Amino acid sequence: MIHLDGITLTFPGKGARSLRERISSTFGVKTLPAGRGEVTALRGIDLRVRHGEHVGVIGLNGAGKTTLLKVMCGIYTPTSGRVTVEGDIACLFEVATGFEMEATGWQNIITRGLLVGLSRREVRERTREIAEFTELGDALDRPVKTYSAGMFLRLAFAVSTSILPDVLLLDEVVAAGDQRFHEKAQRRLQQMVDHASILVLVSHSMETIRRMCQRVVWIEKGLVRMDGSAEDVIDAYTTQ
Amino acid sequence: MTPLAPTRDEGGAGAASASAARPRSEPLGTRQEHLRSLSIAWQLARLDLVRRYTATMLGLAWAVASPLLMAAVIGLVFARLFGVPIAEFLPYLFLNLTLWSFFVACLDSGAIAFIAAEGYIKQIPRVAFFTYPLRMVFAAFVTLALGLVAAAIVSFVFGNRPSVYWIGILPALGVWFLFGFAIACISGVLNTAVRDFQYIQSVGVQALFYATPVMFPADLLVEHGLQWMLTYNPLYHLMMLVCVPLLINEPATLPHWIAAAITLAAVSAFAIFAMRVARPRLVYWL
Repeated sequence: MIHLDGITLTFPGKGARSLRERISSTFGVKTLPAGRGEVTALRGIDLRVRHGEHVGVIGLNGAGKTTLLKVMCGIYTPTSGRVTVEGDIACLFEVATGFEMEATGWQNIITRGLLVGLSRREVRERTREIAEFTELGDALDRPVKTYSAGMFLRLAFAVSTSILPDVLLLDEVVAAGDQRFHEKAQRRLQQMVDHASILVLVSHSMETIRRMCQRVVWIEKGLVRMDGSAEDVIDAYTTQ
Repeated sequence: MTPLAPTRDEGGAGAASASAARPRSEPLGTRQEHLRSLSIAWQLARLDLVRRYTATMLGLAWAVASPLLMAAVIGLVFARLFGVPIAEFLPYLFLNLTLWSFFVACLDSGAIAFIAAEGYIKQIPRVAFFTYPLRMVFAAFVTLALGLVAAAIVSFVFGNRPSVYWIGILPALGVWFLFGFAIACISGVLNTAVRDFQYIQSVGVQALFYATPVMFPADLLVEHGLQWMLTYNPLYHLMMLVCVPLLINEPATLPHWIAAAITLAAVSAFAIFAMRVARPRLVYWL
């Protein structure tokens, strides 16, 4: 279950980075004109996702889709509003960040495995399976700084999809890599989706959304513009 | 493909309501997060250590060799300058430099702990933030432990024999570890909030280095009527906790322990406060 109540999120602006502004704002004095460089990404979002629901999130670039996802999984703390999530949560992003560049592929599998929530024992048990899935072979012995973008993607994807969370948040992750890998990844992702009781999928591909979600939320300028059945919302969105 | 088993044993206990994974009652994270974080921090620290010590030919030996060489060079000059016997001065200098290096390492690597972890913090939820400074402190502490073994050997070579008072070093190391962890958290939060902090900090550390009896005997300050510089220098007391038992074979005196305890309590309180303030905001500072 995911409950969002009146979620507003304002990113602090560049001005807030300066020493002067930081010191003065600590004491409650604003030396900069209010709102300089601030960006309000979400403006009072109310959303309830119940068990068993697969929800698609659509909207133009900059509408606040990814921000919404990051609020759901707790990476962003909203400026105001309440977030309640029940169950294990995992989120996957289109481009994965966070690697130990000097460490080998193997070491990164272990590290990332721990980070996404596996125990040491589980990591040990699954390392081989994860490594096989990446098909990176001997490259796993090399420091990941030598990897191509596609190789990073495979590594991160293989680790992130080795867990089965209750709540799965996907940001433009449909599958990664070349054609053959794509099909394999698709199957693995489907397994994860099937297990999860809640899926929230952000995508620009209406086809994917239609295929995977029954309900669609259309976000525009940080607000829910429309929330309803996939057909209705996608129709409205594409004919606007 | 092997079937995937459900993850996280704790998931069974299930349905733990998490307000954006940050329940209000536990602003520094849940217990599960804490335990997991230890494991993650240690894994990351191991990578750091392996990287640091496999990149060079002498490897791990550098952890000991570099302060040892420095102590030898400075020792030869300063022992004459201060008129202290080298057999007494060299172990003292080496031990002090080892402790000081740990202090500096915690501050310096702590300052970039969150910045270096940006990729994790922005994408991987439910990892307690203290994981990242802890990583740095683990790595620095291993180096400190190696240095202490070397210091004990140097002390032995110069005629000091192990005694029962060496046991006092263990609780002292506990204090050092927690102290290092606290200052790494503080440095990390401040430097992530205001990037200028790193530079202010390094100037401050330099100043403190010359005010602290690291490279000169503490008596020198007393002789010049500067006793207060020792009394009010927390670093001095922390260093004495290790120096006294190891080099003089006596237990560190109560005033040193009291001063160390006050210092630890103060920096810990500040560190917890800083981490609480940072928790909902840190990701936006990156």
